[in-house]
Amino acid sequence: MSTDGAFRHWACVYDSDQQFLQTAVPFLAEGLDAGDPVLAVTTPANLELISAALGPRGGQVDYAESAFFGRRPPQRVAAFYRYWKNHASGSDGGVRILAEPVWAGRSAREIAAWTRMESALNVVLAPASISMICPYDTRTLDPDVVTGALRTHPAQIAGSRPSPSAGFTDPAEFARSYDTGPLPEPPAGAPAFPFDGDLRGLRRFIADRAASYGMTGDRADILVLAVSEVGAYLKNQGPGTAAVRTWEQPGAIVCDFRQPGLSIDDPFLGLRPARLEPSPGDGLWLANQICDWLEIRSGADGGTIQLQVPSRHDQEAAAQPGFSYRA
Amino acid sequence: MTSCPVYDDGVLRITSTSHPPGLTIEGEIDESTYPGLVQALQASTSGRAEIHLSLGGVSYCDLAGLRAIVCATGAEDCEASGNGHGDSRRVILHEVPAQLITVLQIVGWDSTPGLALDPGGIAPEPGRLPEGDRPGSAV
Repeated sequence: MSTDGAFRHWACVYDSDQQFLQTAVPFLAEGLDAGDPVLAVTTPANLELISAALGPRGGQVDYAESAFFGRRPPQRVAAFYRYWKNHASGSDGGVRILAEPVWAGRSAREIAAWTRMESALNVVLAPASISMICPYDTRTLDPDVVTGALRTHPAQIAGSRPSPSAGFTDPAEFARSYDTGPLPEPPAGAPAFPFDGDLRGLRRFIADRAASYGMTGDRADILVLAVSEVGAYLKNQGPGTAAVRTWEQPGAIVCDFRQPGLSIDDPFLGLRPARLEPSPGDGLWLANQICDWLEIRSGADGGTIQLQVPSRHDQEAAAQPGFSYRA
Repeated sequence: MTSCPVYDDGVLRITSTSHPPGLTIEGEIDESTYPGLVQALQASTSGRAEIHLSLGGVSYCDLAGLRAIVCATGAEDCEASGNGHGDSRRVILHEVPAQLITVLQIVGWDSTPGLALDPGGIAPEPGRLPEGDRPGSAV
């Protein structure tokens, strides 16, 4: 595998279709000229613009609508990584990706998570030979989102001219500044399990809880798998007992691990794609892929990992027969 | 025709099969049963160009356990995990539980060279013909 730190990441701030095309088209066309795999992930409107501008050559561009290329940030990271792994030719083959995130309609919590992902890409995709331009449309975006882009991308690009981002912030520092708020406290009386390394006992507990929330089949299995992987991670951190508590909130089942004395200082834990070569945190990466949220906090009073999966009231799976998890 | 138990701790039970050569794995695979799994895989793969693993009885398998199973192929990237065994082979998985297929796809290990999922989901049976000699393509 290539580990030459080849990941390159530019923000393209644009305020018109023409400005968008002035950057997107040369970037994609140069990739096609070089015979590199080229992927455009953007809005349906921008996909049409690209297609019209590239003409017949546009047929060689791989594409996806942003909303369907990674539902949440961890899945988006995995989707980029998978594209590179499946399409790059040879160990040092490069790919080009135009990647415009969806911001409209997102909650503040989600905007923070997506902004944080933009920053984390610089670290977790570092081994991948990916050249990525992330377009930001000032016509529709909150100015704070655009400001965020200049903090999360080491460089900007307009047309074919790159320039450094003055506001670029070290991704580790950035991640820590974004993950400081307290997580919701478990409600009083939430069923609890003292986890001291007994993974089977933990799985029994969470399977029973899942049944009590009316979860069956894949939905329950996914919760058990995610919780067991979090348990395995904690067990590997050394001795200690975590209080595991679960509760239901509208639209979600939450499972909360709190372990006094536990310190977690990797701000990218759970975001680095798992490979056949094992690495600590692989199990958390898997949990992150199959949950709606996986949040980690570490402080003077210990460590907290809180995960959230859809409750039985979620109807998205029913709307997409054949999809057993929310990609 | 023969099958004999190679590991059984009450949680994970592994039986070796000779026709086709491989293992039938039942129970839960996690950190506590992982060493037993790895040992059985190493013994079973040694010197073989192809093995069959029947997973229909696996009620839980964590990511590390799945990696060990995939790495029975001896795929290049497995070497660092200590599961590479130094040579490569075909590993045919039978009766793979749906959740394991999903995880294999999420993590991208379903395309590991040498790994094949029996589309029919048929468990290896004593006396079953080798892959190439099976009459028709019974799916």
